[in-house]
Amino acid sequence: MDDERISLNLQVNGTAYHVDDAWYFETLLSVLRYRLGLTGTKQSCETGSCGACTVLLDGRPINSCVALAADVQGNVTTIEGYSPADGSLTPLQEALVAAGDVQCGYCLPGMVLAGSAFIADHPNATDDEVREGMCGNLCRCTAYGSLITGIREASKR
Amino acid sequence: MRNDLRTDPGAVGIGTSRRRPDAAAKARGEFEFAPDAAEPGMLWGATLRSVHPHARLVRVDLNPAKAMPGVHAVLGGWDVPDNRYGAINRDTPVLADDIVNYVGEPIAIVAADDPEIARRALDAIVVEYEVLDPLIDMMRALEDGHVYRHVDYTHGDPTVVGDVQVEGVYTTPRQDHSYLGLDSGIAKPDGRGGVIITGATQWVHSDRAQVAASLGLPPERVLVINSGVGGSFGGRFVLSWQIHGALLALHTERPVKFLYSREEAFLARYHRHPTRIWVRHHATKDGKIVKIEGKVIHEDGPYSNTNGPGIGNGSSLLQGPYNIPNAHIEGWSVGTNNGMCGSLRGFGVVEPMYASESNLDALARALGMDGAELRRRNAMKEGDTWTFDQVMDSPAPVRELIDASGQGAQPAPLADTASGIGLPGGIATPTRPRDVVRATGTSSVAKNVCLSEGAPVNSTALVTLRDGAAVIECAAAEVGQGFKTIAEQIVQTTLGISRVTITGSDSGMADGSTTDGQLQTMTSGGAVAMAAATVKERFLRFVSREYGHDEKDLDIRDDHVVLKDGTRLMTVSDAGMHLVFQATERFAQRQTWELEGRQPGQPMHVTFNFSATRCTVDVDRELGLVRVVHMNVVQDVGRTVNPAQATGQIAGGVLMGLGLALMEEFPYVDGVPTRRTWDEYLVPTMIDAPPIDVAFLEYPEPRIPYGMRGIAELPHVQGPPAVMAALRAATGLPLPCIPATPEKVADLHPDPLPTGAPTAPSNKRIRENVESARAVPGDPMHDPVSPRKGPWNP
Repeated sequence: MDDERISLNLQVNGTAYHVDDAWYFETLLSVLRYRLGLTGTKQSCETGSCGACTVLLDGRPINSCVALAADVQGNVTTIEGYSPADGSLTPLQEALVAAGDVQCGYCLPGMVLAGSAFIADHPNATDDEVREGMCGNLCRCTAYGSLITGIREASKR
Repeated sequence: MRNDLRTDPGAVGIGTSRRRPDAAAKARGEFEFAPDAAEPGMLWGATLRSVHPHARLVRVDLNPAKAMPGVHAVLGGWDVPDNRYGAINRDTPVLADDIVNYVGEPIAIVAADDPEIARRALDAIVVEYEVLDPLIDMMRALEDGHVYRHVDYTHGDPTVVGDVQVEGVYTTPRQDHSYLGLDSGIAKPDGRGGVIITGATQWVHSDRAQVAASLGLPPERVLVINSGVGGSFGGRFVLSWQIHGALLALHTERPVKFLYSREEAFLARYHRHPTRIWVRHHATKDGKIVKIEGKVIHEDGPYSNTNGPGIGNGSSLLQGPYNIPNAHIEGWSVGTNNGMCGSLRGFGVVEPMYASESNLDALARALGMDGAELRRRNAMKEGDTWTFDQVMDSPAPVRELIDASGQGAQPAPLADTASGIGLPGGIATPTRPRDVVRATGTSSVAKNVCLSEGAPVNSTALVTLRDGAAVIECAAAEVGQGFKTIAEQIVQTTLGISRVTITGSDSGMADGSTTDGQLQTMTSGGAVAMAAATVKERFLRFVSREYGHDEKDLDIRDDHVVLKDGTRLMTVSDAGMHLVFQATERFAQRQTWELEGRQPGQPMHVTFNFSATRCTVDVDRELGLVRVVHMNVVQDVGRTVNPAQATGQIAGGVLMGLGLALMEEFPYVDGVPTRRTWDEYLVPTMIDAPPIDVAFLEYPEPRIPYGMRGIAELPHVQGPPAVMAALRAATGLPLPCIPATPEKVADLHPDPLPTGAPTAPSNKRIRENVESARAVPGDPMHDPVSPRKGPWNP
């Protein structure tokens, strides 16, 4: 079993982490949540289908549940690193929670990070652009209306 | 229509869109959901599950797993003190003893240092099966007498015959809850022989009773604490990992965490029961419904567990929100080896409402009448009597709802230049605008609110006022639906203060009832309102005594003690002199009785809610691709406590219903589930979600503080018939089986498309498609059923 264990180096939220005794097949999601304690990244589908585990790798959104931790090169930003240190909300986070109902909120960290990358590329986005660009992030509680509104408003320049 | 749906953390009181107290923490990723929790010295639990739908366990050898390094306990069914559990019927094994009855049934559990070691320990357990024939057909189950519950009742004169009769057989699929928050939690020893269970649930007190009974512990030795819940939708009513976790924690004397994978959640957990429903409406030529006949079959899995109320709900509400003077309805809950079934948002009512609304679509066509007009003519109103002999003694504005759903904004016409997600099929669709048919349909539905048929429905709340701020303690589960927010709003309005918070929920508190049956707003909300009112009374009596005002002259407004004319005397904080004002109140809904055998005047259901919806769809008939363009939903909510939340619950519920209508299906082939990821089991995405306009009527609910009424299940009931009414109008097909996936909607030899108002139907095509409900080739859900004698084919 020992030959299945490896050491990893990861750059997460600007900090260099060294992880010993990880399984060689561990996902980035698993290392973030269960070895670094960064549980803001949510585990849900484990097949890259729902976007709840979205993190940014050098600013681009990826599904951390299907990224091999040992393969990851670059700077990882999780919701802990994205959120302002003073406990406030970014304009995108504020727009998402102001636009209507947050319900269970399990999708929200992934929605925020995917949304941040989306609005960087889509100033003044239309509803349909949001639908197409964000359809990889599932929400089971809402009908997406408030999420679409929030992301659209946050994209205004 | 409410316009201000923007949430505001500073908004105060009933009627405002007060922001959820946990919204910012959720957006920042700081809110702790059940899968996020950890404990020092924690082990990881895992579950060995049956790979066969029906088999005898010839040998189960745990020893190879026990011998593995890093494995701390391996337990089988013989290790469970009382090896049965169930929220209603205790008939479900905690761990299989000698027979397994579905794929995914737990056989053994392990606790290990690491989740991967736990998984490898499961692989090391030796299980020898003697495979038995599974029972996989609900019709066969009925014939063979595998019936958990049978109901049969008549109303009025069941021999009445209408001028026009329309009948059909309708089927609905097994649906998965698919909440995003995985089933998870931690069980740990309390150091005194008991156990503390922290995880995601709908009802901490029900969980405690079940865990204590299976462990052979007195209930006070089990503490169940609700954690952050990532959605529920009726899916956390039946226990999953909790007894397993408690057993392992007591054996290892360490905290044990369970975290189901998505695949395990599909296999291990229960689903909405599939149904087959036959309905026949009798009507006069001018569209007055004179009788309904129905036979409802629920496929309820290998164990009854919680299933009895489902068939009660379904059989009683088949009539829909219409006044029908005569009826004969029968219902069966039957058992098969196709996985566990149970409650999912709109328990037992989504399916019959879909079937009877579908049959009304067919009746409207047979009569040459607009579907909305047919529904208007038969709309139930207050004072009418349901087919299950209960007087509708609260508001039933069905006609007004239908009329209102027909008003409101219409979607923009389909542009000739539409492409991609503007068309059926989405991003890479081959559909062109000229291939698209657009049509609208109207549907109206009803749902019982609260648990029915004698189930206790009551809740208790404790409200404490100190230094001008109030704290609410109520064990009602917050699963994302927003109870905590509205509880704060109710206390703000009742006490006249702005600073109100609510604590967490655990079984050491008084029972806060279950987050089920859309009951919490009007049950725990009622308890909260009563407790706050009592606190106010005690506080003002104190102020009267201390400050020399007549109690009758005093009130509280905007955090101040005021005279009735509004003159401010002092702040609530100053007036209270640091004393603690506290009250506990219990709110109980009226008693109900079982469907059959009631005396006159004994209600079966506590109360009901109603909605109507106009839905617009675009369909590519050739390819069978469907895009729901717009929905206009109007629901009577009694009193709008929080417009943003109410809108969110209703729109979200309707979208789940859209999913059931068009894509969601969890099929079994030979007793084995074939879909185990969200790439196979599809749920609606942002592209599938249409703009949904939500409007409210507000006819107050009698007997409930502020006239509040539950809202959250009815929208899921509303989704499928609304979507399908529009889809039938667009295609002319009866489409009796949902989900209406493209292969069912595609029509390779279409008749000329219907134009204008729906025309009288035809023809033989309807009959053929009704027949086809009995046998859809290649569809495992609807395996062919030959006409057999029996209750189904009288």
